[in-house]
Amino acid sequence: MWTRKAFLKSLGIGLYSISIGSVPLFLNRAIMASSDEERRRKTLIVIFQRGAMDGLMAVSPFKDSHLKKMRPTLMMNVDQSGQSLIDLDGSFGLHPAFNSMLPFFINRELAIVHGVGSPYPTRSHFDAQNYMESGTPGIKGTQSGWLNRAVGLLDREGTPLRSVSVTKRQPFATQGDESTVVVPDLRSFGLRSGHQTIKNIYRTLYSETGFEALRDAGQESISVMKMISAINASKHRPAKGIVYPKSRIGNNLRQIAQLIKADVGLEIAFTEMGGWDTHRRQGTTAGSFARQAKILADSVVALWRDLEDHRQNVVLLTMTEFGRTVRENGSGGTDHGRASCLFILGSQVDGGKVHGHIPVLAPEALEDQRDLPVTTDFRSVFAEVAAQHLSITNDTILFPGWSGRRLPLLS
Amino acid sequence: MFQLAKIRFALLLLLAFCLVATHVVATSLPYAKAGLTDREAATHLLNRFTFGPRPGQIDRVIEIGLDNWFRQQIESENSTAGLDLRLAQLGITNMTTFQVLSRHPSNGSLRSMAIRDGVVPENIVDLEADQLKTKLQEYAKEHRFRSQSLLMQELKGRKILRSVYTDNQLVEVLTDFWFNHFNVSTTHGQARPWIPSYEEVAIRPYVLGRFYDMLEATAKHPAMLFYLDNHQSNAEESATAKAKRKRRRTRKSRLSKTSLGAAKSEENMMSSQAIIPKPNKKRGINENYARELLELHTLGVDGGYTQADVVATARALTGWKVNGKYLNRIKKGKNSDNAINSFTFVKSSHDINPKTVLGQRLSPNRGIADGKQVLDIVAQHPSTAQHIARKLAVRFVTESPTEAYINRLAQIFLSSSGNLRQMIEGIATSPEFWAEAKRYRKTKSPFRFVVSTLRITEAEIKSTRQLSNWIARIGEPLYACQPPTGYADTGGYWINSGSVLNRANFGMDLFTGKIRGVRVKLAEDSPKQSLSERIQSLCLSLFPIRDTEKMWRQIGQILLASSPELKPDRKRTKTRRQQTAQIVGLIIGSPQFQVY
Repeated sequence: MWTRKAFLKSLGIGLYSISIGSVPLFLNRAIMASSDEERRRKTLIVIFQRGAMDGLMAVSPFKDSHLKKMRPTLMMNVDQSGQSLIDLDGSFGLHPAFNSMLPFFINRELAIVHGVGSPYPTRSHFDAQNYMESGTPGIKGTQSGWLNRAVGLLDREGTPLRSVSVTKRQPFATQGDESTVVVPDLRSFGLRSGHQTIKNIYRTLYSETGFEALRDAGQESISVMKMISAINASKHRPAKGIVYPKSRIGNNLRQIAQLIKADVGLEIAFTEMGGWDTHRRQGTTAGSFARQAKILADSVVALWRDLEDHRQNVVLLTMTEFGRTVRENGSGGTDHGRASCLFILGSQVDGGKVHGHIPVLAPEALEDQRDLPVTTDFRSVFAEVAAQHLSITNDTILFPGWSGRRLPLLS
Repeated sequence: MFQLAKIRFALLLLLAFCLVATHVVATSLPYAKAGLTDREAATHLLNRFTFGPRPGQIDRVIEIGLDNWFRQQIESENSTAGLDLRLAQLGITNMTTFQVLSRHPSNGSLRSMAIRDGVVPENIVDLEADQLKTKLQEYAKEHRFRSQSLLMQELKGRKILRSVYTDNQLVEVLTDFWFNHFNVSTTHGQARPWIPSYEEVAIRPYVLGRFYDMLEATAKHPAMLFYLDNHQSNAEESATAKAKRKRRRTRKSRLSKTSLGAAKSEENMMSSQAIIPKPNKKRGINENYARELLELHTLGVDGGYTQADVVATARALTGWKVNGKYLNRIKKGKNSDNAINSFTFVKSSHDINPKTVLGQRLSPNRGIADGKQVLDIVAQHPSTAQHIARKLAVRFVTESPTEAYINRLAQIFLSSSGNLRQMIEGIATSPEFWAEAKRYRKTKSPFRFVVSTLRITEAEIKSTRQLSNWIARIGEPLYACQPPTGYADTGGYWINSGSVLNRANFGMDLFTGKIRGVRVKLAEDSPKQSLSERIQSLCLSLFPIRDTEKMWRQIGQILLASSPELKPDRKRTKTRRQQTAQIVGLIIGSPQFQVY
């Protein structure tokens, strides 16, 4: 378990005790570079799609006649028009709103896993998200999230910005003994008043207090503030030609890219995107699903291009708490289901494929006669990413109570 | 004549005795023995049994006497007139539970009702999104429906207003503790509109009463029945009364010996098997509530129960449901609940087979008595006593209570049959409690931090919305703790790099007037006072008995060394006021103010 004290001792470099002000980034880089390229940290970016994304529309088994029967208005096809599904492999078609991601599927950096979900069949958003974030489906009392446990299993000391959540509040996935910094927005992170005197008073009060936990937290906050203000000051703008969609997720991914490019030791980044709960008016090529899909895809693509120089060290993973019903409902939408699909982006990913398995969607093959059955436990995917990308192999701690196997997805 | 005088004298003596007796009954707080001055003791009492002292309150407590003050808190003797006026502003204050539910339909229900009443076409895809929204808003207005987000806002606002303004602080502090212990969350859609009632009906009335009563009230309340799924828990088909009747009919033709044997082996099978639940089926047991009942509400995770106990408990509690008749009345738009209870016991869903819970055998087919007996068993269990004692000790005394202390408190729990008032009195009269005075080793939760600030600054609150947002930002979204464990009670849980920054920012925003709906008094600038002296006097008022000399000296030094506009001078510039406000805000955000 990383302790704040240990960190403060180990870093030793005058870097973090420089008085509040600017930290020249070249100094930062010089010091980091001297500690070896190959020891450069790997970063895992997690995007939680909250609301239950319809995997069957995102990556659709377009030849399935049952699906066609059960989705009279929502079924999509592969044809020559630019408005239709993009044939990925003869069986699955990618929703056109995701088309900006297609080049990465083709160059094998993007993999899709279908039929993935939780063994515990709750259809409550709240419970299912909780289980996916705790990594212990079916157990409600778990006190930490799997990403927090992952931080604890990383193999060496980290920086104060090793685990960052770009969200309004701390998600359950990153809660626990290890510290995660919640940064809703890089530009406004810090003390309300930028005045030096205020900063000095804050620093003095927190560095000279006898209350240890408060002192450690205070000093850490000062380090984080310094690092973030240096990042803001360095004006790491997205590379030329890259535009992140004007949206919260676009903004969040831009900031994550900023953090990665600033070399602050970011190893785990979490963010989220809502708007996937398409009970009504889901639409096909246009509509609420297509809208969200395009924003997500374009944001991910912008990030991936922005991180061109860092790709070998970054993996991006999406997830959603469950999928949606095979059959469309009476309001032009779909209801809560079970399995969905997820995307993994990375240079070591076994990309250009749809992994996992979904059956022919005959009623008797469906769970409860209505839902896409879960054929891959989400932990098989998460554990694989953690092991191959972050070198975390202690699955017993990462996913207590799980005795499954990792799904080979990365090399 | 003489006889009369004797009688009068006897009566006077009796009266005197009664007066003395009632005084003797009041708990005697052993703070002098702990070597504390009146002032130190009063401060500690206020810190632990209220949400933080108000200016001058320490003196008032000393005036009326600490024992007396404590007794008044236990008896909730203080007037609530001022508070009631404030609460009257909230819509929910004057609503019955039924009205709260009827008037705050979820978005989904609103839509369904609008469709049912023909206001919105069934195939809503036909309407544009804005048209739909307008129609729904008009429909809601017509029926005097309010949004659930407004309901949540008022629920949170009620808690904030009560905690800041009530003079019966102890009950408020205890309601916060016990709600958290029997946590339910507004993130659960079905439970959500029941939560205002849950706090009022299942928690608050029992905080100084009997543990069993609170336990049973929470077990039966719709908020909990929905939140932990017991409402959906049903006996396995073969374990119902109906099935038994069916078996009896078909067995009539068989030999009686065989049927007896069959029944016995079924029971053995059910209790020894580690039954993996099949959740979310229309029929079948749901273990959620039973598990949390044992793990969180009573025995505690190491309390010595097994998976078999969880299953048996779940089986005993089958049939405990939210009353469909009550829900129907809401659906049909009736005016009142017609005195129907929101809880009901549904016989046909109850598992009638015998069970064994924590070594005690429950006879078959006793209906609701089954579940009640389980609640009784767990309420009196020694592990429960330990669990509750530990939690109370952590909340009121220290984050690391000794085993010996916990044992003593647990003993009070057991010998008083779970009398929570005696638990509090036991804590207040324990040397361990008083040993913590002046140590400041407990960390304020976000809620306590904000409320204690509002109390010490005598804030005037016109709107609670931004305050709730701040409390959530600092880490404690009210009534929205996702897991049933509730929030932890330790500094390590609350304090991290982000939260300390947020606390400082809260302080600064509060004092620079940036929190809408809240006004605090920043004592007027006295031109004769140097800025340093001002900071000093502020520190003294914020930290009544603590040695804050070091703090304001440090601040003073920094100020002196800083830019000219902050140097002590006579000009009441806007900048200076702004900066002063920020410094006060920082003091609120200082480490010293985070502990109590």
